[in-house]
Amino acid sequence: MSVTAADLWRRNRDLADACLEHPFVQGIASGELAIERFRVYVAQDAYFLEAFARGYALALARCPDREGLGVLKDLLVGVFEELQLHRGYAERWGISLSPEPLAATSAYCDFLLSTASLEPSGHTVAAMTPCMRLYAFLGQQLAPKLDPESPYREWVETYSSPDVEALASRLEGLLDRYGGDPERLARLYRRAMELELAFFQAAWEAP
Amino acid sequence: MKTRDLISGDAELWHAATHHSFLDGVCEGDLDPAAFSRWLVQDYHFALALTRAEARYLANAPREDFNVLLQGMEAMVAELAWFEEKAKQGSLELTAPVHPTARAYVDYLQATTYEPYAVQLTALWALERAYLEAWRTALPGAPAYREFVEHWTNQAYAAWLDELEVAANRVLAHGGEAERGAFRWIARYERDFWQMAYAGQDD
Repeated sequence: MSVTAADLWRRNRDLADACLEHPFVQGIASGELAIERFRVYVAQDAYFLEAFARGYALALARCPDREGLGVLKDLLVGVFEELQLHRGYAERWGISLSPEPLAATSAYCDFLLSTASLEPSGHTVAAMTPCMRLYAFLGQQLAPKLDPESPYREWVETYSSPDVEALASRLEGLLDRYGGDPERLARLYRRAMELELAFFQAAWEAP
Repeated sequence: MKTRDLISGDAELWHAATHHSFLDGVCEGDLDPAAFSRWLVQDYHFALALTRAEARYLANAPREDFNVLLQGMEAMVAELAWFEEKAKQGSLELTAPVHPTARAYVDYLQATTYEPYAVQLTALWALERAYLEAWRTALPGAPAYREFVEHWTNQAYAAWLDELEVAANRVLAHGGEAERGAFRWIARYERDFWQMAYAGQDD
């Protein structure tokens, strides 16, 4: 039995909702999140995105078809645009983008890089899709309740944008096309979702 | 060590990699169009492999080199689309089998993905520099080939390569025999790639 990106997302809605309801995420939309927590998050996320870019690059290097080269290249460019956004935050709030990684950050980076190094492209894509789909989901869910005065408005606007939705869909398209061992795909997808939740929790607890 | 030391240390080999009767034929216009098409198809195979190899280099690169390598990869994916567009317009058979000479070069690229980053970057710089210098010898190009010659010697490409060269010089500051070895292999394969155009598909 094959498994689709839509199936995997459905099966992980519990974790997606837990992320959405997390006080860190809710605080971004309301603007009530303490800036210290957001600073930790941005620095850790920049560290994470570097590993994420390497993961895409490795997936591109071994993707089985010509189309994947174009899609993964676009996704890679998307990560660099995201890092640009972080540089904007960094300048505004004086954040170092080369932090010591927290345990949750290291765990997520190591998971991505070991998957991208050792497993076929379909499995790598399954490990990378949750981040894209979750952030598109969070952006879209938070947008209607965004306080226009929130200092984190840009974060919500970025992830609720049609561009992010389009990138998430294209990545899901690759997941459906490449597939892989269904149990392994499910395990990798779930693990990435757990690591996403842990990432917010770590930024919440850190300062 | 600097990139220019690699070139001056193997000047004859470098000359052979960047000067060839194939390029003279493109410049003069007396190159057999069939030979050009054969070469073009093999260059497409090579471009596919280079795109993947560059992705591996990027995965291995320090953050400071992300930008230049990403630009390189973006250009390669655009180059693939350009080849495919050319194929649609003309009689180019992009599915023609890979020639053994191209195969050897592609396999070498694959081998570099297991090397340290400094060797990878040296190889990438060398093959891009050889390509640009070689095509510059064909300028302005006979009318039938002019579009191609202009495409492969354009200003954006040259500017990007200068940026890549800065990164290569940084890693070569601590370079040694491994980097020199990669440079020589690239130069040999570049030289052989031109010669391959004269061989039939089935040799």
